[in-house]
Amino acid sequence: MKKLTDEQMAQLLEAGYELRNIEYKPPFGWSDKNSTWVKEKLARAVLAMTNTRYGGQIIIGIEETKAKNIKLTGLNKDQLKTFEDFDGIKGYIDGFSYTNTDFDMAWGEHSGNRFVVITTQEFSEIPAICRKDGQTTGTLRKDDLYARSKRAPYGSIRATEAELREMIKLAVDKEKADLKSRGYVKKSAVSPEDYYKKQIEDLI
Amino acid sequence: MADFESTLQKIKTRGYWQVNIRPAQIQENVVESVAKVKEIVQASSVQFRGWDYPHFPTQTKDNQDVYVGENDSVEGWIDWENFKEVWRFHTNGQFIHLFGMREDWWEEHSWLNPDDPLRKIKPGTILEVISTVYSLTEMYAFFSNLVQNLAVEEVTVEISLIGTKDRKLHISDFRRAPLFMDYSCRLEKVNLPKKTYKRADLVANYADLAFDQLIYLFNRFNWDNPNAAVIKEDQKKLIERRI
Repeated sequence: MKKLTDEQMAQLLEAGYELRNIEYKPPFGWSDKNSTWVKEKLARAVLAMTNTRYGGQIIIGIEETKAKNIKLTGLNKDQLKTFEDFDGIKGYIDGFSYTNTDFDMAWGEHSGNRFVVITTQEFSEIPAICRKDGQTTGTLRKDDLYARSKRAPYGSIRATEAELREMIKLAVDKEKADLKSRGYVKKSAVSPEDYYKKQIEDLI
Repeated sequence: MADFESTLQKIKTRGYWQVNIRPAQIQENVVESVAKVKEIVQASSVQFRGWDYPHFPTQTKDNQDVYVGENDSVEGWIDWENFKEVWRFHTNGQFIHLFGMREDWWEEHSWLNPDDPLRKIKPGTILEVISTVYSLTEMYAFFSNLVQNLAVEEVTVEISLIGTKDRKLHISDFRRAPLFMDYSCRLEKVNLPKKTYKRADLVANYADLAFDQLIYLFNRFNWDNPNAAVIKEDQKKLIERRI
């Protein structure tokens, strides 16, 4: 797994709170017992980032205190090691989506603590739709469409009208760009009037 | 020797009608061949009075012809007496007809007596009312026939009268009362409202549709209240060949 520079890691943590394109998850080991809930929350976050303009990053190793402050706890060495099975994690997360997601994993250090960073790309063709129910109640539901909320407090939510509009526009823009790249440039439609007038312009 | 082009240029030196009917939507090969195009124009042409609309030349002479033109079309033209016409019909269903206002070409009418009052009318000065009623009714009768020979559901019609500025409405028939006052046009040309008609409407109501255009045209000559009953009676007489 690629290691981020200290500077890159510091930049990611600079805000000190979650943003639309940055989400925090508490420290855990991928193979931990009783980690289903947090893994499903992570999968939900990846789907939500996939469906959000510019995608985003999920930083694992940050806890939220009761006072709603963040604590940069980090992962211990054993927990970090469990994230080296990229293919296994990718397969797990993609198992919840009808279409494959596109993300990379890296890790970085900050003040002696280790964090895993999942960088998710915005969908390339169509949004990611949840393919099956999760094991924990209400975290992942079949056929749900998740997105990062457009308004604070930011979270990975079931898309509302505002997020759906953005997603549709993104999908349409991508389709247009794709058609253009393949040479299908929309031609201005010729009106019947122009079509027929051209034929008799030598007379009128 | 006259030809299509020289006749077109001659028509444009004086007042003239420009008549265009085409499918409302783009269609190709509405007519299967140029041979069929000729057949359709001839079959759709109307003859309520001594002259057919549009004139279909039945023989090739120095003053008229009909032949296959460019872009899958058939062209016809005539330059004879005060009849100056060119038309073109494409296989996509578009027909265009330009013809000189006969009021402007009496001087070339050899059958008129030297002292006939019509000879004294200067080109560009009048629009003959009854002849106009007849002409527009003939156009619409032709449209009605035409659409019945074409595989189209809707057609668009555009008609213009060009060279109307300072022209006065006039009644030449000495048996009819002259107009009460001068009605003249201040416009260089009158574009009648562009209309799109369903085939069935055009076939069933062509005389009424022509009537609407006549009223619009006469209004542009500042004749605000032409007698509708008289115009309709003139149309009826024409269609029934009672003139």
